[in-house]
Amino acid sequence: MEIRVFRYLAGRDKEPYYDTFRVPDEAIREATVMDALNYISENIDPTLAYYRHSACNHGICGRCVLEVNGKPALACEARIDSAIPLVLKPVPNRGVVRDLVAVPG
Amino acid sequence: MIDRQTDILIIGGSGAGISAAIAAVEKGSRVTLVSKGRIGKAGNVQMAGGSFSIDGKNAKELGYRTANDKVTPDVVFDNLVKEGYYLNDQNLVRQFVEESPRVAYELVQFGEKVGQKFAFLPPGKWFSVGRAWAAGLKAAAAAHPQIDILEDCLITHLLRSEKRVIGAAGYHIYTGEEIRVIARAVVIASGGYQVFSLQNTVTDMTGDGPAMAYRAGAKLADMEFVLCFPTALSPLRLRGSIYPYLIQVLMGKWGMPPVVRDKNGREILTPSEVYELVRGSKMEKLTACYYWGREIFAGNGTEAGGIWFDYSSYPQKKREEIVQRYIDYMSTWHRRGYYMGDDIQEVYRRILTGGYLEVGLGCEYSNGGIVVNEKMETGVEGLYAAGEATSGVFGAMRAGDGLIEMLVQGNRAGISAADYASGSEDIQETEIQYSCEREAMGKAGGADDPSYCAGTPGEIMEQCAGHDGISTVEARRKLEEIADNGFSFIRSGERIAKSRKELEQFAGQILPNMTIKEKSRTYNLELLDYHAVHNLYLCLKLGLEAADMRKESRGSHIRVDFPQVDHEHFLHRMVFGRTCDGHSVETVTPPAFKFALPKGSDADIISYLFNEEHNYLRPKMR
Repeated sequence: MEIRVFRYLAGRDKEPYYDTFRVPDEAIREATVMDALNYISENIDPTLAYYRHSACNHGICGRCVLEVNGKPALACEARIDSAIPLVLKPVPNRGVVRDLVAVPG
Repeated sequence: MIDRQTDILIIGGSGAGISAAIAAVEKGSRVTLVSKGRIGKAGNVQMAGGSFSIDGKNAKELGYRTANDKVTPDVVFDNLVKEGYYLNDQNLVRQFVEESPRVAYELVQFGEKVGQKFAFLPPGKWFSVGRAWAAGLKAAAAAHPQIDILEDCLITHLLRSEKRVIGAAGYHIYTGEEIRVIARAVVIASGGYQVFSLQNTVTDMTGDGPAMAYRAGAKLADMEFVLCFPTALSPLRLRGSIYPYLIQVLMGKWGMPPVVRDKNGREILTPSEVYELVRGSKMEKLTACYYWGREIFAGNGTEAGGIWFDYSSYPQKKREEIVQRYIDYMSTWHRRGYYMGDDIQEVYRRILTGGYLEVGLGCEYSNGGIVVNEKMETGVEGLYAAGEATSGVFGAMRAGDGLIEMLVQGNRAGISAADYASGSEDIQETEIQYSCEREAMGKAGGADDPSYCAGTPGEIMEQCAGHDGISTVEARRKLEEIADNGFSFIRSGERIAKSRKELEQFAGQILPNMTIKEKSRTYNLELLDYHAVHNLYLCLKLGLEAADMRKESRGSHIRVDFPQVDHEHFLHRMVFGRTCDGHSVETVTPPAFKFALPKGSDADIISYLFNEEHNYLRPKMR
């Protein structure tokens, strides 16, 4: 499936842009958005920034929040449906640190 | 640059770090605590799933009427040493047993004050959930506002003068800004090392503490012992959840243990006398590794490397009754149908409809780490350690609670560091100068890992700029593959040797050539993984070497080629120290003031438990 991901770094990028990553369906069957981001980071683009430096992966710490198809969600809990296109953005109103990482709330 | 000068620097923001910080400020020290994550959301406290215990006698004295006072501190001591296969440092066990009632009770008090629920169960334990303990810790930290806290910062190396540790340095993960903290004493409380692909811990467990302490001259021991236990493999979204263990233990206690099957549907039996012996204790983790792990090792596991839980042989009515009881019980702490933040209704549905659950053995804990004494001193002046970053209290098998270890050792480390700091000489400008000029003393990987330098973000990016290897992110996955193959829950000389060879190639070809493509320091995961890969590499290297040397089985080190628990030749700890040309390894007999160490051997880790000479008390003390 195709995943569109928000990219931005203040001071370098004039404005935000989107990258589209093609992730094989079998790699993310029954998966979460965090699994997809890990797949992209490990196999396609290691420069992608998304919250994972101190993450529980089971909806406990609540720190991996981002916007999935326009709605706030935890990356580690948001499920992927390969039939529905996926657009990922940082949560609004907190300021962007880089790519999907927002200023800590 | 963030530049601080203080009395005590604490590295780590979970149970051990917060406990140390509180103890030190209560003794009047100025404290800076640096956490890789955020207080209350960092480290493994929040991941805890079941209960934590103290002895029943003290629990009764604390006012818990249902406590079983026959389970005295002596009995707990006895169990910990025997379940640790006598490899424990008995001085540390004594400290653990004696100091746990007070610190555990304090945490329960803080948790209850902020509305968390803890169910007291005999003989002396509180059942709850990690989030509740994390909330208690956060409240305890908040009650001590004089603690100076830096969150989301990675400490990369210790600063040391000729004779002592005088602080540490690192950078802020979000901004890349450099950090330096000069301190009279440093407490490492940053957790263990997690080198496998299937893990049920937070992502923080990258071996930073043991690795930086070792580079600065501390010793590491017991690196071959890691603890794995039943962990979800599927569906992928639940991978790493520990719901299978809780289901196994709780539903088992209520008369519905899973029928465990291999990939061909053949039943994997745990002998009933063994199940009866370990039922409900942490030893159930060990027997899962032993009986199921050997089948997985032999190639009878599922494609994802696990086994199946099958409940279809239980009558429908019983399944419904037990599942309902489980859901009701857990809903005190979790949203109905959830475990932690995970929706596990699919799991209940599979149990009720006769579907199978795929379960693996995921890594939870590293017994190995920094050698400390009962004051949490490391042998390097000014350097203390606490919690999973240390080694010794649990010996060859972590039969006690990791959470209690964090609390008792953190508290003690804070007290010891404060005592030391109040009597130590002021840090001299010449010492700071020395540490800057000779930062290599704690900064460079040395002969064990010559390509590593815990430099500033800028230095590391410059170093990696000319490389043409794989990314640090991908390198971390390769390291996990090597660990999965030869260092896992069941081992053999052949697989250990193969992994050691692969690791040598990894060190020769991958480590020195890893790339960091992103040039910005801002939330740079490649930069973060650069440190993680090197720190985990060091832990795995020493762990594999110790596993190779330990030609026996003991606790959670289980070898198919050497099943015997060989007290005659291997009842010693392997202690690693850094030298100019690599490292030394000493074999050290653990201090034993209460029990004489056993002689002879046991046929395997299971018959050890039944050997009457060891007089193993747990089963008599439920």
